[in-house]
Order: sequence, then C-alpha cells, then structure tokens
Amino acid sequence: MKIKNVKEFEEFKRNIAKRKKDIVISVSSGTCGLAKGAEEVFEALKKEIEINGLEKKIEIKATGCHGFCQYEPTVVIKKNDLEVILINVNEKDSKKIIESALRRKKSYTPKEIKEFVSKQKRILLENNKYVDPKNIEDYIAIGGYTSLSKALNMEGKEIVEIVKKSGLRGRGGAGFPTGKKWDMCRNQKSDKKYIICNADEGDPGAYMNRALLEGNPHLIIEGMIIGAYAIGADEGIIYVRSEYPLAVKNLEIAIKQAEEYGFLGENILSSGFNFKLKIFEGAGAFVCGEETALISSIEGFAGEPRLRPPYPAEKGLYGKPTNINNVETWANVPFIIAYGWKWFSSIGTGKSKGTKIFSLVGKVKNTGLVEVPFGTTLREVIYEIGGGIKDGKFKAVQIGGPSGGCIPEKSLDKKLDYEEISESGAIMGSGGLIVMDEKTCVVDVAKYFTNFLRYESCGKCNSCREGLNQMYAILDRITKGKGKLEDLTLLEELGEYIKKASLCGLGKTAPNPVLTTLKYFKNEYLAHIKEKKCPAGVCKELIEYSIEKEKCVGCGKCNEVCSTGAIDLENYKIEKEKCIKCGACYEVCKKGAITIK
Amino acid sequence: MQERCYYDKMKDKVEIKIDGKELIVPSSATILDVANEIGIYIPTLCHNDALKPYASCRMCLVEIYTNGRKRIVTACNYKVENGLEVYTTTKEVEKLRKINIEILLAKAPDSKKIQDLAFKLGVSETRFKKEKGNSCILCGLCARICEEIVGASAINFYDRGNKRKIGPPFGEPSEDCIGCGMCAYVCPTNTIEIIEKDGKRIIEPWGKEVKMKKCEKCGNYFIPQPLANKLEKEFGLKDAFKYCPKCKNGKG
Amino acid sequence: MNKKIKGLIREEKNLVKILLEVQKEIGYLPKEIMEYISKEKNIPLSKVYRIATFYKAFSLTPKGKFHIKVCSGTACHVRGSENLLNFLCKYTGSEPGKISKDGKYSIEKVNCLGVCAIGPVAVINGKYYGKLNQLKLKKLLEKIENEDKERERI
Repeated sequence: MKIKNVKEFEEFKRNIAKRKKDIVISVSSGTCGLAKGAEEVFEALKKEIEINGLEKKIEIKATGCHGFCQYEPTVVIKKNDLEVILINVNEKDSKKIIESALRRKKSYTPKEIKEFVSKQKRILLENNKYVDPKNIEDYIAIGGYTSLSKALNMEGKEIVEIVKKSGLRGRGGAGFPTGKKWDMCRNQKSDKKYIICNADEGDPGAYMNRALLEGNPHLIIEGMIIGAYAIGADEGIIYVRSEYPLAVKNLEIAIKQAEEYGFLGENILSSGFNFKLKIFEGAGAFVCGEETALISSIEGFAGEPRLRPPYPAEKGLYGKPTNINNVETWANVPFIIAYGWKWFSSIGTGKSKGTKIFSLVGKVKNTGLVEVPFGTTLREVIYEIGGGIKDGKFKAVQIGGPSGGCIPEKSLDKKLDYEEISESGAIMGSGGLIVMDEKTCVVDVAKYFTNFLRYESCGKCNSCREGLNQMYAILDRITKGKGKLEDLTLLEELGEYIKKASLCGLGKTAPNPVLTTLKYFKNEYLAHIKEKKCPAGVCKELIEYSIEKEKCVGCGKCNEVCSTGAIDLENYKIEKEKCIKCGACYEVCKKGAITIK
Repeated sequence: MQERCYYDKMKDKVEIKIDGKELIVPSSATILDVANEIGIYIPTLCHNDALKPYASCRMCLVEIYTNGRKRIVTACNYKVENGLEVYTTTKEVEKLRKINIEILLAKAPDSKKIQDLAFKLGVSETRFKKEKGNSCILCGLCARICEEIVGASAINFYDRGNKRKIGPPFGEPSEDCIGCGMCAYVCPTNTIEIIEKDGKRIIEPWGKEVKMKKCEKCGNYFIPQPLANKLEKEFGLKDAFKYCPKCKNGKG
Repeated sequence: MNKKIKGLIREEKNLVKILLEVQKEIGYLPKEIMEYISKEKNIPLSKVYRIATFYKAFSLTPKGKFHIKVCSGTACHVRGSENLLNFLCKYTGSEPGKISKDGKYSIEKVNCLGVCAIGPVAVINGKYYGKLNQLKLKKLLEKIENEDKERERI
C-alpha cells in the first residue's frame, strides 16, 4: 500500500500501534546468530507457539544481530515494559521459553549482558532487538520514517545546517564533518546529483555496518532519503560488499518495501521530491572503500583511486556531483532530525559527537558490538564492557583496521575521540577493536596487515605496491629470525615514504600497523632479531613444541591429530625433524601439556 | 615581479608560483607542463607527452601549497590552480625521490634508464631485496599507448596489488595485437623485445607472432601485415604498403 | 550459455555487474563467456579480463563440489586461521583458488566475513561454522563427506 501524504502516514502509524501483540519474541538472526543455530531456535519457538495456539498472543520475529555475539543465539522477550534477555539458547529450550514468557512478571538480563551493556549508549543498535528487517511496518512502529516526514517539511538548507551544528562526522574512518560535505555537494549547480552509501566494510575484524545493514536497513535508507533531499540528489546507490549476502538480501527487501509504501519513488509523501535507490554489489576489493575507487567500480571499471581535486562533491559518479557517506553516518541522520542537533551534540566529547559502534573482538571475554559515546576510554571498553582479557595478560588493542595501529597498555586511558586516537599514531577508522594478549605476536600482526594490504592495494602507485612488498619482505625475514638491526630503520624510512608518496588513503595509512608496533613494541622486534625468539610463541620458525610430562594425562589426543606422526607419547617428546609446527596438538590439548618455547 | 608568461593570449589563466618564480599559466596545464616549459627538471618514468598522465611511477613528486595546506603530489597529473605554490627541490622531495628510485632499482636492477636516473639522483646502490628476471616496473606505458594511440587494447593490467601484471588476456597471444611494436618502443626498461626473422615478427614477452608483409618489388619484409591492414583500412590508404619505402621512392 | 545470461549481457551496460551475474549463475567466469561479452559489448577482451582479475568475487576456475571459504580476517588470524588453512590444503590436496584433483574441494581464502566474534570461521557451501580448530574441521569434513555418500547411495 502506498502512503500518499503526511496525514495518511500518521493514521497508518496509529493503526500499526493497535495491532501490537502482548508478547514479542525476537531471535537474533544475523550472520553470527545463524551460524550458531538461530534459525533452528526460531523454528522451534514458532512451532511451540503454533502447537499451543498462541499466535494471537505472541509474535515471533527473526531480527538482526543484537550485538551479543559471544552469546549467540540470543532471544529477547518483550512483554509490555518487561524485557527478558536469554543467551546461548538451544532449540530444545523452546517449550520452557514459551511457558516462562507467559508467566514472567519481572525483567531479566543475564549478568554477562549486564556487564556488556553497562557503559554502552545504544542509539543506533538498540532497535536491532525489536525490528524484523524484512518488515517495514516494524520499523514504522518504532518511529521509523517519521524523521523523513519531518524533514520533507523543511528546506534542504535547513537540514544541512542542523547536521552541521550536530557535529556529526564521517564514521568511515577519517571523520570529515558530514554537514560540510553535504554543503559542498548541495552548492554545486548540476542537473543531476548522486548520493552513495559506502557499505563496503572491508576492515578485517570490523562488522558494525553488517549488523546495521542486516538488522535495520530502513534506518540507513531513511537517512539517505533525508540526505538526498537536503543535497538535491534524485538518485542513490548503496555500495555493499558481496561478502555480506544477508545484508544484500535484507536491503533488497527493504528498498522494495520502501517503494511500495511510498518512501521511495516519485513525489514522496506529496512533497514533490523524487528519489530512487539502488544496490550495487561490490565485487571484492578492499580499495573500493576509498571513495574515488568506489566510484570507478560503480562505473564498471577496476577500482583504481583517482586524484583529488576534483572532489566527488564536484565531479563524482559519471562526472556529476556526488556525496558519499558511510553506513553508520547515514544511520545517525534520522536520529538527528528526530531529536535535534542539541541533543546529538550533547553526546560525546570535544570535536567528536554522538556515539560510535565498535566491534570488540579478539582475546577479550565479552566479544560483540559495542556502542559508546565518543570520549569513552579504551580501558572502559576493554575492561568494563569487554570484561577484560579471557585468560592471560593484555598486550595491545588494534584499532582502525589495516589503516590503524596497535595501542599499548600505557595508552589505554586515551579517549575514543578522532583527535586523540590520531595522536597515538593509529586512526579511529570504521570501528574495529581487536584485543591482543601475550600470545599474539605484534610483528606477526604487522606482517599480517602488510600482507593484506600489499594485495588489497590496487597496485598502481610504485610506492604502495613495491613499498609494501619490500616492507613485507623485511617483516618476513624478521619473523624467520633472519632480520638485521638496520631493518628497523629501513622499516621506518619505508613507512614514511609510502605514506607521503602514495596517492590514496590506502597507501597513505598502510604503514600504520608497522609504524605503531615499532613505536610501542620495539623490544618484541628486537627479540626476533637479536635473540631469534618470538616471545608470543607465534612465529613458526622461532618456536618449538614440547610435552610437559607433569601435565600430560596420556589421553593421546595430540597423537590423534598429528598429521606427521611427530609425537612420541612414550617418551613425552615431539620429534623436531617431523614436526611441521601446525599447532594441532596445542589446540587440542585441554590439559595445557603442550607448550611452546 | 611577475615572470613573462609563456602563453600571451590564453583564455583561462591562473597565477602560480614554482620554486619562487611567479607565473601566469593556462589553467589546463599540469605542474609538469609548466616545469618543462620553463626548464625546471622533474624526473619522470611513466610520463609520455602523447599519453594521458598516469602517475604510477611516483618519480615526479613535488611539494605544493594550496590555501596554506601542504601536500606532496605528482607533478605529471596535478592541474595548476590559482594561488598554487610548488617546490620541486625541497629536502623532503629529494628524499622521497631517492627512496623511490632505490625501490625501482631493486625491481629492475639491470635497466640502464633506471640506473642512470638513480645516478642522477645520487643513488648508487639499493638497500632493498633485488628482484630477478622480471624488469617490468608496471609504469603502464605499453598498455596505455596500445589503447590510447594504437587503439588495439591488446594488453592491459591484470590482478592487483603485488600480483599486478601487464600482458595480453589469459596470458595468451592476443588476437587484438597488430604487431606494431609501440609497446616495445615506449618501454623504459627494455622489458619488451621485438625479434624479426623468417618473415615473422615476434613480440616478447607477449608471445605474439605476426606475419610480415613482403615488398612486391624487392621482396624484403618491411611491415607487419596486420598493421598494414589496419592503416590501409583506417586511413583509406589503399595500396599504400605495396612496396617498401625504398622501392616506393625509387631507391630500391 | 543459457538464455538468461545472454539476455543479461545484452541489456546490462555495466561490465562489473555483468560479470557478477555470470559468476552467480555459473559459479565462475568461463573464458568463452568473457570472449562473448567482449564481442557482444564491443569491449576489448583485455579490459574484460582486467575486471575479472581485479575483483576477488570472480573466479576463473570452476568450484569444487564443496567450496570452502576460510576467513582470514584479523580476529580469525590471531585465533589460528592460518593453521586451519594449511590443514585444509593438506587434507584436500588443493590450495586456495584451485580445485582438488577429484573435483570435490575448492578452497578460497577470503577477507573478513564479519563474523569475528566466533572466529576462526569457515563457510562450507554457504553455511557458516565458527570457533573451529583443525580437529573440529577434520571431523566436520568427515561428517559432510559421509552425508554426501549417503545421499548419493539413495
């Protein structure tokens, strides 16, 4: 059904509210949840409801990721004001869950989740718990598209001013002021303008955008329509990576529904504004996260970045003024319109306003999606929200993906703030936080990122292509115990050169993982070079596996998994000549009897 | 004091400063154009005036200031703009060019052109791991001339990052290649070779073999057949390649 | 080449989109189809091949009966995904980007799949498996093989 104007929209919202059922059960069904059996849980619960004839009383929905990734599958039961969160749910529990949902009189949150959400301020993520991404009415029921309706009654210039005053900055990495970017594009005179949503989330270890795209696609779509109206664009493209099949699917459904309901298309809510939105699937290239490469890619070419100026705001897609923002940036827009710039700018710190979503992963106790106001410290995120290190001692936190850096213990009181993070040599980036403990080798991590980038570089600039290749060669020999002391100066020199001589953002930040680890963990490099040792026990050429007789219970599991027959159980020995250091025995030994030297 | 501008009657003029010299130049020019015009040396490898600038070799780095903001950019593709200040010989620029040629020297240690440029920039040895066998520096001149000038597009870049290569599709001799040899002509590192024997021209490393056309008078082979065909067809030069240049001029 | 692909090639202007659709439809980009696209769209073959090799969603070789993606994101890396990959190569006798001799397996080392919380992750024929180690993966593959044999018998 098409909603023709604001009056019809208001009436429609009232009707939806009437249809609400007493109990709503949400099963977190993002990619993580599904991998851990969310679909089975959903089916079992649905069956249970049907068996008991409770369809009119209980509504069940498969929502996007709730962000409690560690404890998937998770289920949220909402009964009027009462909320019950269940973690590590098994399909066999379905009967119990339905029974307790009917009886419940008190809210319940498991202590792990309490800890995890304690310091969070969930604005963008909160609705992932309540919205079925495949149902636009769910989104409308929580106030969705109301901001659009409000925005269409304003002047485009007014909206740009609000966004400017809110202090919203690009969430893709560099933190460019969004309002300023919109203004540049709005001021261009052109018969045609485009807006693009950069959903090419390529940073390894980061999946905030996936959670939003999968779980609440209409939020992004609404943000884009408002932005398009403010800028004066009539066509939008969501550039989403094909590695996210569920996100693509949910976006397709959402766009179709938004068209059906009249939020996309001609004369939206009788405002006279026309806007169409399409999806472009990225074909798998990290460099296409760079906006000029992304444009090349949409135009059907290889994703090679272009020289700026001209900026996309002047000459972007097909030579027309184009405004590109990241998923999370667009997602903030409906909230700013709904609650005003004053509200938004009251959250956060210094020049960084609002909240930021991080994906907290690695060797931390609670992993998952964390949304905190800017200004929260890294220590709070890792120790209070994340619950600290799983087992072992903290070594570093990697922030900002391949363009970012490793931050050590002594800098953990740094605030999550664009400027403060940059001072440390890392960047805020899109929001990946990977926690590393003593068993993570920083030289190996630096090598990992360099290896990633040397292949993800488009390969055009000599400095980026050959520079990273040489950097990798040096890191490789260090991890093999063949490094020289001069290599460290050479790495620094190379790093500076690659940053300065390369064209695009990829090259200009590519040396950060190496430069930050050199700055904060020089001793670990020196251990590899001087003592030919990997203190973390990671670099294969520098370690040896052995069996600790006292801890060994003789279960023989190690022998079972060893593919080369290197384990001599009788003598508690691992034969050096046969061992290929695959680590299978180490992974499988529950007694900790296999040690690394 | 303003220096004499080198185009007097240009329409779109901008004022720039390059190494302290104030100039009025056409807005369509690049920094490299201006530098060449007034005799300031900026090293290049992937640049050719006949082709669109590509900026892959990063040899022509210069320091610029726009609105008080400092940047390091490539001179070959950076268009001049009003108020632009350019410095071509700062310490930083010199250091970057040095390490750039050092890296190229590791990539193509036997190339005369690279060796000469390194010498000119004061680099005699490279600290980086030398690559053996393949001297291609991926400047792209061959692929660009094949597309932009010859119009054959027989070769191109493939893959990406450190696996980037240049060659014909599928690594097999390209049907689009007309054997003109322009790729070998522009290659700065002599990676591309032309061998002519037994009425054939072979272009390596593309593995392409084309037949040569015989002069109908003296019987000497003088032009690749597909090239002659293309020229005859595209420029309406019917029978233009019946005889070799010598015979045609009656000197055969 | 089926009608759907021919129709698509005729109508779609964007080369990246055409190749993505062919990849989805056939599972890889056969040489003949790239040559067909080149002729039909009047794009030099070298340009078609360039796009096909630049983007990693494209495969130039067919996939095995079981296509296994191993995530190489940072969170998976620090939890030992490299060891998983090495094991997989040994177990299947294949390597990333290649199909095993019996046509059964193909392995792909992929960039972050964004399911970092349950790393290391592998995806077998579209289904996600988390918190793997070499032993778990071995058992998983054995289970899948047995199920497959069972299916074939029926």
